[in-house]
Amino acid sequence: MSQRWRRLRILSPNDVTIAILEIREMAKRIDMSGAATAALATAVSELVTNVTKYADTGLISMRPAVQIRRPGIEVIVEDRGPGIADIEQAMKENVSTGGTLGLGLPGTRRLVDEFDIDSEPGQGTRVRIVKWG
Amino acid sequence: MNYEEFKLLYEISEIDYENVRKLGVRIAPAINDFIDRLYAYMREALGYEFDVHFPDEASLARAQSLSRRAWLEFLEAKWDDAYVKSRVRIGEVHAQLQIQPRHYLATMNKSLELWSHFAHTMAPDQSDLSKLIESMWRVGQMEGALVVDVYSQRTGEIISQQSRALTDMSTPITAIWDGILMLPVVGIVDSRRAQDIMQRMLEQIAEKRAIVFILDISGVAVVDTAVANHLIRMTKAARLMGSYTIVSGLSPSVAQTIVELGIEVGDMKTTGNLQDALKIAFDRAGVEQKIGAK
Repeated sequence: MSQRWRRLRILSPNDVTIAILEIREMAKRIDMSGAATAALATAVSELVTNVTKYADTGLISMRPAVQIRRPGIEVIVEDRGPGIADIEQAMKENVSTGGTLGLGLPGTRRLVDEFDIDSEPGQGTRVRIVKWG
Repeated sequence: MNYEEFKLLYEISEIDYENVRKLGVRIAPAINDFIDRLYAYMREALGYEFDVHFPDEASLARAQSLSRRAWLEFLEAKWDDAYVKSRVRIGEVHAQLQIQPRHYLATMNKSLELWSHFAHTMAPDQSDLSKLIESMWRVGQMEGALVVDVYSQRTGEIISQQSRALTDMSTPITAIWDGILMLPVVGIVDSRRAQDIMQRMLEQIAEKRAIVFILDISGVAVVDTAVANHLIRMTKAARLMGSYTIVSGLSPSVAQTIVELGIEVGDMKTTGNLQDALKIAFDRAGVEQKIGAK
């Protein structure tokens, strides 16, 4: 049985807060552990913040992932912003064009169990993550 | 907001404007009759709401003169910047006065009905009359959508202003001892709030001449790179003012998250709980800790 996607539009920095609240709500509902919830919420915060910083608007979709006896959540964050020219470069530590710590993407990858990124310059960026626990 | 999008959504072209203009020339002379009938309808249909919005003759007269101007503009059908601005303004006024969207839209519908009636009675000889009326309805309904859109945007802004006011109230910096300040941060910290906290923190450090500042983050939901970045900056700024900052209340999961993210906390002093932070603070502030001793 596949679960329904919960979709939220990302329009302003306020939506970072809303996305975090929603993901925590979902994590609570499926009985995810505190540590996994903290990691997932942080990853979501990073990704949605990126959208508001670089792309202005986007979309976040989340749904409980299905695996026997282990709660999980799958999240997709996508935008039609400028995209990332060099993904390999962006996935390295301390590379930031936004005047911050430059740990966002590689750090986010370490926080979750699955991490896929698709980006095309001028087309946008799509990141899919899954967290178990 | 993209106004061109509204035209696209309602499939409005230059021809529609021309049609409204053609019709406008014929029916605009009925404007006073129109206003009388429209407000009679509103008084009847809105009931109590009508009295709330128009408590006296003066406010009613003012609203009527604004409606009069707006409808004359409508019948001139010029889609220029001034026109768009005036429609945005109408939306803002409706939001400010908290007029219900259903009341606005019903009034818009009634207005278009009235103008259709005037078109039939005043310009029965007009060629393509039904086409002209159709154009008028379409432009009118698009205008309604525009006003409601502005309305909902303003309402959203009002809500975020209110939530901001609430978070402003949730920065309770307390002097727990001579030279020791404490701030428990609760909830979700975004950039705006972080900046606000930092400003208040520095002001209070200066005012209270704090030696130690304890920032308790046990109630913070998420510490991501942005929040960590803010914490580091707060600590640095406080140090420049001669104050020592202790970030307390790092839960095991937050500590783990920070490490996974690869955040270098540098020489920022952190503790797992508030008690340890207090111990350090008392040491630094030279407070003797002999509990129970006089």
